[in-house]
Amino acid sequence: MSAPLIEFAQVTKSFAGPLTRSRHQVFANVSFTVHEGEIVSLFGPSGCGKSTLLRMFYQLTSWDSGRITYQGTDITSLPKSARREMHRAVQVVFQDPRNAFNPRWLIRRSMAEPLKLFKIVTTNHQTLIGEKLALLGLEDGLLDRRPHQLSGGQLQRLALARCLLVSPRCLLLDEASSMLDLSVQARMMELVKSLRTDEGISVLLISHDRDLVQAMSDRIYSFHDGTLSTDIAHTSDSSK
Amino acid sequence: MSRDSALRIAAGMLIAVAAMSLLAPVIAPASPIAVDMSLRNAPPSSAHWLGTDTLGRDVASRVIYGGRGALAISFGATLISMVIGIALGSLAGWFGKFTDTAIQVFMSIFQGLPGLTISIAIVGVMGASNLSISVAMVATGWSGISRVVRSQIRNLRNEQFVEAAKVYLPAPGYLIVRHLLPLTMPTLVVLATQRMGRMILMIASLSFIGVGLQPPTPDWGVMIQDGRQYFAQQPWALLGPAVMLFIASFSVARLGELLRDRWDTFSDDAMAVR
Repeated sequence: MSAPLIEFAQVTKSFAGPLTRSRHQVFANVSFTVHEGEIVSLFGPSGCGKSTLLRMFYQLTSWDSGRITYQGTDITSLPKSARREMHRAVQVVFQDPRNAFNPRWLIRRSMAEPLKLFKIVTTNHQTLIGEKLALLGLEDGLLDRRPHQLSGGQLQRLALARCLLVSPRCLLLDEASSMLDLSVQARMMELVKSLRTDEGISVLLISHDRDLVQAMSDRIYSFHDGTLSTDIAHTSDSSK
Repeated sequence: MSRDSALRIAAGMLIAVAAMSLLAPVIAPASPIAVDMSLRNAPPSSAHWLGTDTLGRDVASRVIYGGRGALAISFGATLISMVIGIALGSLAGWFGKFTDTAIQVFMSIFQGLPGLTISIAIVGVMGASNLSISVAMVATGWSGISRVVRSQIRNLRNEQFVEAAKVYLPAPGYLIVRHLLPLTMPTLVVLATQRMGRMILMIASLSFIGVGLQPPTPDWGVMIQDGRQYFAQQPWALLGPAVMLFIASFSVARLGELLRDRWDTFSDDAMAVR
């Protein structure tokens, strides 16, 4: 069997206290995998460290022990070109959509940023952006607004559209539909499922919404008291 | 008064002072350094709008010329202070750790120095000239800017939109210049203008105590020093440069505050659009 796309093995994380040398352990020995074409969910209450796991994957925060791999290679030892490819292939929608876009920039500029920084060549950036917006039921007119002029739901969908611009192999969705009304959330999740079915995109879904993760996931990992366990009670039909 | 009206007034005052200084050779009614002992201490008249001083020089012409040195030096020194302050503050705020500590120690040394005393010492060692005054202004001006920029970059560097951009693996310079510094612009504008306002006053202070721009160069500080001795007999010789000094330093500082309010993305007006 080929190596998982993403693997967290025995990862432990603690934060230093603000005034003392003592450390507060967030979670210990967390292990999970995401294989090609899988939808995997991390489920748990707010503050249990789910989002911290995502930040670790991009080395935006450190961890105490354990190993994080991408296609079997430790992410801390990836050469520069491979790391760039990993960052392009694994895209993330962060939790707070209101803060996910530079507040001074027009949305158009924010959307074009990954294309520019990953040096992705297209015949027309704007056409590609328009296609992704349409996929998420958004109008081109939003591109000429600034983040504070849009709703949380619109920003969440824009963040997902921005991820799709660079043709990712895996999406990390951190409470990515929390600000959507039910009908838009259902449409977004259908899109995520079709991305998996049609393009083989893997998804790591992070949520505290049990119904959502049960409806979407092939496997669910649950946080309990700083440890992560596979939810054996879950029987998914999403992949069927 | 609305914010836009106040902005227009402050900008108008500053533009008027700057234009007056730039166009001094055209609009000044007489030479600012021509001495005419037969006209000593003449009161204001149609020929001499603000009278003459103890050497018979036209006070109005000297007032018109008097801002040139202070405005040019303060503008240039502010610009250089901003470049140094922004560069070092950004490095310290972004990289943290040893870089931050080293730059902070350097900043503290400069910030701990008493501004006017150090300026006097620098001008004293280098000799009174535009260059030495500029060096003194930069030496006492950059560290405060650097500290504010460092603090702002430290606050902003962990914002989620910065982390989102980090996923695309840009160079730190890209994140600082494209994402972070534009967000600090409202603060930087206020800092720059307040710094420039203070420099105008500092340059006048140096001239006033005799170590800055030297007579017969027309300068507001020099004129205030000359005029204070004869204030009771010829108040125009002091009031003219004093009023101009106030207008220049006030308008530039006020303009900065008003621009900050206008550009601030997080102001009430901007948020109300939501």
